[in-house]
Amino acid sequence: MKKSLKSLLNLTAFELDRMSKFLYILIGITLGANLIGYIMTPMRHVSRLNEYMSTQSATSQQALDYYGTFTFYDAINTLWIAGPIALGVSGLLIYSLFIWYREWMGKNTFAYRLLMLPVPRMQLFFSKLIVIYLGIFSLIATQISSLFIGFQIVSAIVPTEWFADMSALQAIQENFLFYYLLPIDLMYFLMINGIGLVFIVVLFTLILMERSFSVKGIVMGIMYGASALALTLFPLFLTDIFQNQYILYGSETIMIVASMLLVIAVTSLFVSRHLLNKKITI
Amino acid sequence: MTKYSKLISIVALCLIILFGFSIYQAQAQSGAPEIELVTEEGDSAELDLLHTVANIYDYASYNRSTSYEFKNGEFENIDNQSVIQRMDYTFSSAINRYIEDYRSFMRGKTRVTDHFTETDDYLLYTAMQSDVNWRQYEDNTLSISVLDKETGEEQAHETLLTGGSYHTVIAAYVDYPSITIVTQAADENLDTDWLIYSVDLTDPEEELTPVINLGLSVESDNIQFSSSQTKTERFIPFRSLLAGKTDEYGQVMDHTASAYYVYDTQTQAVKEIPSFEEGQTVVLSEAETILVGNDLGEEIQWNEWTFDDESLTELGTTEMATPTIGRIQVDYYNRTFNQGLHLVDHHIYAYEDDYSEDRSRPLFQVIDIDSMSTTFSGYFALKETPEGSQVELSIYEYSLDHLQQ
Repeated sequence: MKKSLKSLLNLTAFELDRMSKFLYILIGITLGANLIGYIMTPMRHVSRLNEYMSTQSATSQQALDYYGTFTFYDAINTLWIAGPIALGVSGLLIYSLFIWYREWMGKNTFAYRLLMLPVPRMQLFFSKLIVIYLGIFSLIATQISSLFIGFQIVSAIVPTEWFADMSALQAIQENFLFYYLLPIDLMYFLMINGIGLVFIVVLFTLILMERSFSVKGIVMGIMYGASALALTLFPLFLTDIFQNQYILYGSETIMIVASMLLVIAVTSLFVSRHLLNKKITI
Repeated sequence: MTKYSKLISIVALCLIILFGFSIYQAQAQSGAPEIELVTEEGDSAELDLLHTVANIYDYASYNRSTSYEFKNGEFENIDNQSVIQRMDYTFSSAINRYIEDYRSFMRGKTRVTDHFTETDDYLLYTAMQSDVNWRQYEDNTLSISVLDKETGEEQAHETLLTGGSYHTVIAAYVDYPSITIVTQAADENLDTDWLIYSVDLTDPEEELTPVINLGLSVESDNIQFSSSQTKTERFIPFRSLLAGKTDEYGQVMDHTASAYYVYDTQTQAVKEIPSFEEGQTVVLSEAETILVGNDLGEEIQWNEWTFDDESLTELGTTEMATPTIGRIQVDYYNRTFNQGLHLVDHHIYAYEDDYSEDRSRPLFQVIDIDSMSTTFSGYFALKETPEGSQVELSIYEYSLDHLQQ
């Protein structure tokens, strides 16, 4: 047990090392774009107010009445913040494909060496899964740190009388994107990450199907993916089947969906194990 | 150890930041605004029947609000509910209680308070099939379910309503085993009708014809029913509306009450209530009592109206907490009126949202009609109002738990 854990840690550390450059780039882009947003957005507001005051010979209060106060919410509700998040999500999604296909790239396929390692092959699967999730949580942690640093930057740029009394946390909680991405409501956070985890497990299974059966594997993968999606969404159609919108309580629907996701995840793990042990070709 | 250093440092950093954020958030949220009931007159225990959800909305904090449930005289912050609890929660305290106490009975039934009537022994559900199956909006089948609260036994019937289509159940009045159901429906020209059906639960019919078409009976195109918290009264007050001014496009801008009536669920007769020379009319009903008030703004002069001989007996006059409390302005498209004024257990419960430039708060007044005195007057307020904040306090789904007496 101890030995297998050590080999899993070795593989995870190895995968992390391979992903680190890509992860640092994503972190760098997030911090850089956020920093531009924290500086540019409030400065634009401040210069607008100053311009209004000089062109209209208005007082600070009149300019404020015209344009309103600036909040940290205004600073984070921009593409400078949402853009890197979208980039991070899509980047890690692409990397989830790349993390497997890279092993088959080039003349001397690295997959051969990996699959010949004297460790259970599922450890390859888990190490890649863990690394993807480490990437996700690293980006979330980066975003949280950036927001609190950003609040200090924004409050330093905007004069106190023009800056609305709204805490960094209030602004974060009011942002639609952060409400679901950051651990603001623990249950939502766990639910969204749980759905994401099952999605990646299914995606890995589809990749292994393709690697195992080639074109036939693509067809199998599409069918498997469609079945998984249908099974997940099935409880939502129970109201139509029973012709009653209130046949299930909301909590029951959620619990059935969660059970379905668990079934899909476990099935995918078993299928992946079978493919890795018996079917995969190099 | 060096080969794990990257792994360990990334995991540690993620954990520190995520836990740090959660702890910071938990500490910051402990400062959520708190709400209290302020008593201006009388005893706050008089408001124990009130079940409602109060919402605190701060204009400085765009889409963040705090909600409290007021039940049994106490406030509870409902924002702290888990996601699972939130999934089953409705903004009607009565529906929440039914789900909690009669979860199996409530399965497959709407979450509309108007579709339920509760007595000491029974919980009754009356709704159209189209209310639960939204694709069958043309279905004129009425579902009736009765739960015996003691035995847990459920009786269910389905009956076809004739005399109109696209029915909406406004209310069902119970005098077990007889039920009086009020619906709003469309006639063959798609004009609105207000129909009353009567059902005997000991021998329910498969098809029901209306006992009376109220619109035809009082010759009115627009009718509103008095909002009821008990739905066990014998007499159902309703009023006809008259179209007021029209705008430049010919659209009716306002409607005024033209006359007040009472429908007797036992004799199935309709009688008009005489109007007052001065001031507006207020009509309330409970059990066999019809209370008619002459609304003079600052005060209301109360009378008991006898249905049989149509006589008016003066009961007394009460000072109202504000010139408008309880007399909420109702739009003509509403199916009911009297949303802020109810008669429960010989007490008049009045409510209004009091708006002014710098505040908004729900006001309450309770009047004992036996002594004609105010037994409670007060309002919901924030315990502490942050300086410079613009806070709006409002309530959802005002309801009185009449079985809690």
